[in-house]
Amino acid sequence: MGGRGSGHVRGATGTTGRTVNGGLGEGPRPLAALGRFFTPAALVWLAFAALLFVAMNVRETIHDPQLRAAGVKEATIVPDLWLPVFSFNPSTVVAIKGSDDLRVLSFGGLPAVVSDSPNPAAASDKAGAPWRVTLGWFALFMVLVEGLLGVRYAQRDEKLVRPLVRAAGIFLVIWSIYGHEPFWDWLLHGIFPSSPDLLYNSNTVISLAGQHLTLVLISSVITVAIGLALGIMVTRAEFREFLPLVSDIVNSGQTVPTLAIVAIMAPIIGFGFWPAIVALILYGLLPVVRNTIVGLEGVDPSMIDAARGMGMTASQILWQIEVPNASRIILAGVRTSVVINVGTAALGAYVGSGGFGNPIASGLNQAIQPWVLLGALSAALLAILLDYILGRVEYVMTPKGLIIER
Amino acid sequence: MIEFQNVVKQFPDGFRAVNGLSLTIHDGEITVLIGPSGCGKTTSMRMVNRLLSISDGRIMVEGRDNRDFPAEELRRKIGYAIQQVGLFPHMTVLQNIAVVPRLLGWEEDRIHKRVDELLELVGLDPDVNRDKYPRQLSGGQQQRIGVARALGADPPIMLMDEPFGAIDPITREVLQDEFLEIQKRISKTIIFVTHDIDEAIKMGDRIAIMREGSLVQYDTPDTLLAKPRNRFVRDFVGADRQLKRLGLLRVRELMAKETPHVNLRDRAEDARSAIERAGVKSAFVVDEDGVLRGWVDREGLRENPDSLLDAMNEGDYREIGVRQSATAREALSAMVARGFRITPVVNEKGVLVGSITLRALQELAEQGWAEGDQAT
Repeated sequence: MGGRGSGHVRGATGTTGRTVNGGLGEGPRPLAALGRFFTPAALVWLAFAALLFVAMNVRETIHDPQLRAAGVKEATIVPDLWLPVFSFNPSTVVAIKGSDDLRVLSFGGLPAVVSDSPNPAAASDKAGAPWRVTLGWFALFMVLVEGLLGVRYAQRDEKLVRPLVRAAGIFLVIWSIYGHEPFWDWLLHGIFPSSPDLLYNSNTVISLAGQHLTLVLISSVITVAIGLALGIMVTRAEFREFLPLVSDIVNSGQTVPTLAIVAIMAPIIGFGFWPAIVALILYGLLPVVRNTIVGLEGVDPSMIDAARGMGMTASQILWQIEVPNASRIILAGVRTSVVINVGTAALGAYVGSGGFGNPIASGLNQAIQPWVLLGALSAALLAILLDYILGRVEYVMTPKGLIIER
Repeated sequence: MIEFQNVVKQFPDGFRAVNGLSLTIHDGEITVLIGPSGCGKTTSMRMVNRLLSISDGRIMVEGRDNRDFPAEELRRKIGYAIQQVGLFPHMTVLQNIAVVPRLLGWEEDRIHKRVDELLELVGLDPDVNRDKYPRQLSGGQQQRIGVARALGADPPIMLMDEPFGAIDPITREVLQDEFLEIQKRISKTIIFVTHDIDEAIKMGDRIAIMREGSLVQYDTPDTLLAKPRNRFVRDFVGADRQLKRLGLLRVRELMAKETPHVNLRDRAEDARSAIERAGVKSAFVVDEDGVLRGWVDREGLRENPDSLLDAMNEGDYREIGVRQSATAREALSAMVARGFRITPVVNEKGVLVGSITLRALQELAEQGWAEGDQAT
């Protein structure tokens, strides 16, 4: 197979000399091959993960006023999620001197038991059932998915260890931010040593995350459904005359400030969840519709001509030829839309939809900076996380033939 | 059989791309539609499988108006190959070739067998290529797959729109030769659109020259070159049409089967008398197997009157002869290059089977020239 140069379509950071041998692969040289996995990016992830590991395993002064009031001044903070992973013993000790208050440590994680609490049994009860599904398990699941993807697509680009290492880093980040309030305690106290109110007092981070995620997911599902339908419709010959109209409407949807949409919706629909959803849909429609149109219009016309010439019907051409070939661009639009939605969903707090907007709004109202930071950082992280997940979805859903290398 | 009956194609903007075309395309032949850009050749072809609608007149496909079938059904029965190939990059080679069979609801076993068969037909190893993606193939390989895909469900008719147009000249030649070989075996009824007159002459059993939506001349390549109907056709086929025509004729058909020759073991006197008897200047020398070994002329015999071996000019048959399967054009070129007036014709093993003279070729060309002039 001589001929045209090898087009590295994917993976600019790729290792050299990858081959696609129709699944046959090269002879096994594990040690030499291993060296190729540890690219600079992978090493950064590894270092990051190691750093978090160390940082989380230290004895910390407790800054939480509630705990301090209860007499807890110092604790060994053992990341609760590591318990099943490393010790396989759900009752491994997490020490908080002189306290049985588990609010902090069992947060969103697996059960943690206070060793030197006056009443270990009671503490254990408070921690909940040992196999409760938590964010931690979600993170663990992601690691599994990454591993499986690595195996499944090893032939595609020989990145097995890299996603695993990356996943381990992500796992730690998810856990530390959403499942582990001492982390916040420690972080916020470091930034605002003199502030009396560190943690947002009316909701836990995990429940805020839940509200925020619900807003984003529901609005995104509706946005994608409407956006895809609109995009497909206006690229069909019968409805092409609506293309300018639709793109104008969609464009203006993003021009109007979201806060204005939220404000207009509130008197019409009322306060709460749904006005925020409507605003998010209007705001998130643009990337989906635009990318659907661009993707479908970008499909090589000769391909469609060949498909017609072979006797495919219009719908067969759409679903078997056009959509698969446009899938990358369409999915990129969905990804952008969802990520934008995470940011705009914070504004939903003004109509009472909950989410990370709550600590931000309250923090701004009452001039409590740690709350603002808590909400903003968490929302930003959620955006990064969703972007990452959708990136993986894109990776799996893009047809292999479109990214394969010669 | 495909029959264009007064076919008209008028576009919504009023442009008449095809203007009353009547043309009968014969079964099992490659019919080339050719003409300058905008002559309506592609438009005419695309009306056959109704990728374009017909404004007036009708096209009969195997005795029925092609509008009697639903368009999709019609298209599945007509192979379609285009210049841009239009392979589906997200599908493997197998999936690409299997498109039409799957549309027709073939069973998977049958499809797999058919795909392997087609890959072998177009000269690609099925085991190596079946699961590749189009991006992993070279341009020539892609076009082979394009042809295989058009043949997917074994349609009796094929439409080919400059299928070898976007390929480098060397690969194009190879693909053309391969396709002619394939066509010998499958005998499809093919409409082949091109703007390259050399390709048309090479590929076409018949050539239809079009201009501004109308048919100018419809003939076999030989007739077209020998008797262009008017100045337009003459200009279109080119000033070297006589040479092109020689390219259509095989040496086998033109050579003189009786040619003076002597055996390597003959005496010099035998050679001299043979030459004199035939009234020529020279004779070819063959060995006991009849393989051409050189030639001997009167002058050589005069200088070395005792030994034929000393008198003759030795030469390898590959260098001094032409193959009987060569075209007259190649023979002419060989004679011009070597400065011969007569050249021996050999078969694949080098056995002398005849000879061809420069004069004979010249006469052939002159005859065509005269005929062409008469026709104007």
